[in-house]
Amino acid sequence: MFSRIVYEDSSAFFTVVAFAFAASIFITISWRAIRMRRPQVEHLENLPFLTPTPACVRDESQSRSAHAGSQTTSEDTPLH
Amino acid sequence: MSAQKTTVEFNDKVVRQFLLASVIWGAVGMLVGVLIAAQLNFWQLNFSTPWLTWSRLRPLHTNAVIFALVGNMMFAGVYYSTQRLVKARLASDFLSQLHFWGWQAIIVSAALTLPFGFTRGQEYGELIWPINLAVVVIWVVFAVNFFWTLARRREPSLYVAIWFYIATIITVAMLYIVNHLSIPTSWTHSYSVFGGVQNALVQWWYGHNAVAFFLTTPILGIMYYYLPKAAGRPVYSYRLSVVHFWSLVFVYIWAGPHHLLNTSLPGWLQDLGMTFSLMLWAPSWGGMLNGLLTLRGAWDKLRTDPVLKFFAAAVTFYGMSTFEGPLLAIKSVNALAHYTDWIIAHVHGGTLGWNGFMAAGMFYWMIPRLWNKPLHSIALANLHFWIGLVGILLYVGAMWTSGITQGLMLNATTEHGTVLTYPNFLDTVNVIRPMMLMRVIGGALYLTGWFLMAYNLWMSVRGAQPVNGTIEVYDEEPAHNSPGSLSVSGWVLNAPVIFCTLGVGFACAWMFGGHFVSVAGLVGTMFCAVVAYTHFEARRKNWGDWYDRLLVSAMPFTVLTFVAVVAGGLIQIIPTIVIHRAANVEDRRQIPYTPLELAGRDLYVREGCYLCHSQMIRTLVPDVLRYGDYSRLGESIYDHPFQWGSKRNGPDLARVGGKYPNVWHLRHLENPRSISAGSNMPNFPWLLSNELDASTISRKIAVQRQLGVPYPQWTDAEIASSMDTQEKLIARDLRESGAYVAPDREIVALIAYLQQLGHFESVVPTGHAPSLAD
Repeated sequence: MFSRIVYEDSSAFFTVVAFAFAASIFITISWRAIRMRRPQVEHLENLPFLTPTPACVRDESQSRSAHAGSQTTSEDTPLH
Repeated sequence: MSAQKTTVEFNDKVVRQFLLASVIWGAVGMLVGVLIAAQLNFWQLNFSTPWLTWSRLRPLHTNAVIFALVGNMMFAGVYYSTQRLVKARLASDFLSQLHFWGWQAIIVSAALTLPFGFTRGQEYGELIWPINLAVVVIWVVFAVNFFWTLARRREPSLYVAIWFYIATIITVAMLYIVNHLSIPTSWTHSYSVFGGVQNALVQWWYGHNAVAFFLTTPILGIMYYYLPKAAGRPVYSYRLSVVHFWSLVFVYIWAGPHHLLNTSLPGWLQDLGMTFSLMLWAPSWGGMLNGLLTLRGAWDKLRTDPVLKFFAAAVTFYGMSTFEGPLLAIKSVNALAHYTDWIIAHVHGGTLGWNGFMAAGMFYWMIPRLWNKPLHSIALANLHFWIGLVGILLYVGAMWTSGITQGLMLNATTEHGTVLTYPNFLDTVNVIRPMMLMRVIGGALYLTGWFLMAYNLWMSVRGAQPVNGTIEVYDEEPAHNSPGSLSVSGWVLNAPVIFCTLGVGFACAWMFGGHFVSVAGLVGTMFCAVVAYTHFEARRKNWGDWYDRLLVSAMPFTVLTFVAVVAGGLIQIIPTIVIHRAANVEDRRQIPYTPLELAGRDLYVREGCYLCHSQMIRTLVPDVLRYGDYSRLGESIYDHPFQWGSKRNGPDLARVGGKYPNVWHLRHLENPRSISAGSNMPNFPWLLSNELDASTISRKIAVQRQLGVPYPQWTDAEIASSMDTQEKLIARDLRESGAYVAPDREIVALIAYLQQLGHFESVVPTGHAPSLAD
């Protein structure tokens, strides 16, 4: 009842080629990622921490001792 | 070389500007969202006023939350993190300010044009062509500012967040430009250069990837920077983030056709869209798990830290949405879910949960850093989180229930599948009314949370002194000139690039070429693969070094990313353009519209009818039983833009022509409830009083002819005469049915268009299978 007239049967091949292409990209990238050296990985994963981004936070210890509005600045936690 | 220590002050002013703009526009966009949700329950809220009508406000809502809320949030997040990751101030203060004010001007222009019916008639691509040009210019400004900053960077390595930003910038530019290619007919109107199935494919290639590369990749970049910062620990697995990036960027772009399953889109494209959508599960969940596992050892902070609460919930919603997306892309599931509220649930799980919560988390994290003042109230931020979360769950839960109910009812058949169980479309509308009301409540709760955040942020920054971040650096040569990076010749003239280029060239010859060229292409591809593998085995280290150096070279990396995203687009679009011709229309071909019908069609687009009514009867038994014979490829080939639609708040209109008398349409458009009791469609009374503007119709027909629609070389007088004759015929028919309306009113043109829908000329299939090279 709903059979379509499809003129471009040969185009069905694209799906298979595309899948194989994408799979090869995925495998290649995974292989490259797995083989990354540990120092390289450590350097890259710590990039966000190389530039400090201090935040102004309430100093709870002082605020408990009647300095309710006092503020302090906290640095990012150093990592490695 | 002696290096001097110097202090770099970051440009955080533009970050603050984008942050505040996002909060304000977000409130506006979501307020409109709550209003249009309420309009679906209470039609009276349309106020019978053109610019307050649902179908004109819906594009305003979607454009506002996508381009204004998420756009501004993205720019704030990108500019803040990029400066710190590359240890350089933004390249140009002027470009930064131009970017900010230009983007806000675009948003204001959209807010002023969309409610007044100035639209291109394609979802998320509604803005008219002068605004499209402005978007392109401002996006280029953003790109120049960003890449210029990368060129001045002091950190040679590019963190994965930067990769996601690069992919965003180049892919959005490509998608936006291609999808908005149009020929203007006036200062406020244009026709897309793509028509029918081409237009459908390009539109959803754009629409799907607008979600991918505007709402996902930049936010993933933001996740990879801000989540580790907030948790105080590095990302769980940097290796996984590399796989996440490349596989996501490469695979996402192919999945657009899943928006067109079971339609008249060629079958192989539907298969392609479904296959790649299912493949998306892997990278998406890899990224989601990477985000959540970054919180390992920091879960206890979630009890007190609202920033981490928002981030954890956002990443969880990302996981849910990216599970649901591929699920909905399975053809059989799509048969139930498409055109229903389930899709609305899916979209809002992503936008409210992923985008909205990532935005909130980022804002709460940024405010104490950008104004050097603590957040006004942690408790209020926590309250925002819980109100927002309950709001999302109510919204999404209601829409899941509503969507599945709609799907089941609309597809239900009896008598061995030969009769519809619920033949009246309004049966489903009435059943889902409680769920639609629940959506309003959920949306209103979420909006309340947003207002709480706005208040909290305002109280935090009030009276505070804005501060710009600084960093001590050694003033030396920019990092991109370091020995590890690649020069332009270095990244082109090397084995991986040469072999890949040759391989792709041979493969194209194989697939697209004629007989001899195809065989030569096949042999060349195989030869190339063997030689490349042999070379790789012999010079393995060189290949590895090239990749490592590529990752610290911004421009070659950008080109590689562009190649990755463009591949999926080309392989879908080129064959469709090649086969899109009058001979390949299945067994039917569209009859070009008369001048009056074309004018009526433009009114249909202006009023946003396509947002509630599809014009695509799918190859599904219930669709055919309900609406008529399934739609053929050729029945919309001259539609610029196509109007297949993506949601059915009302029934499909593909074959509505001739189904009802003219007076039925007049009464129905004037007051739908006078014809269909219980309908929630707005009134369109102005169509009866507005005079049809026929001044540009000659130009419109000329442009249509330019686009390949086979119109004869009519003179202006012939066009006017044709319109006059058809107008008078319809007006006389209406008068005989007891409805007086002047022939030159807009309603007459719209009726002419509606009555033409479903008419076609038969074409005898030739049975010839043209090769793609023909």
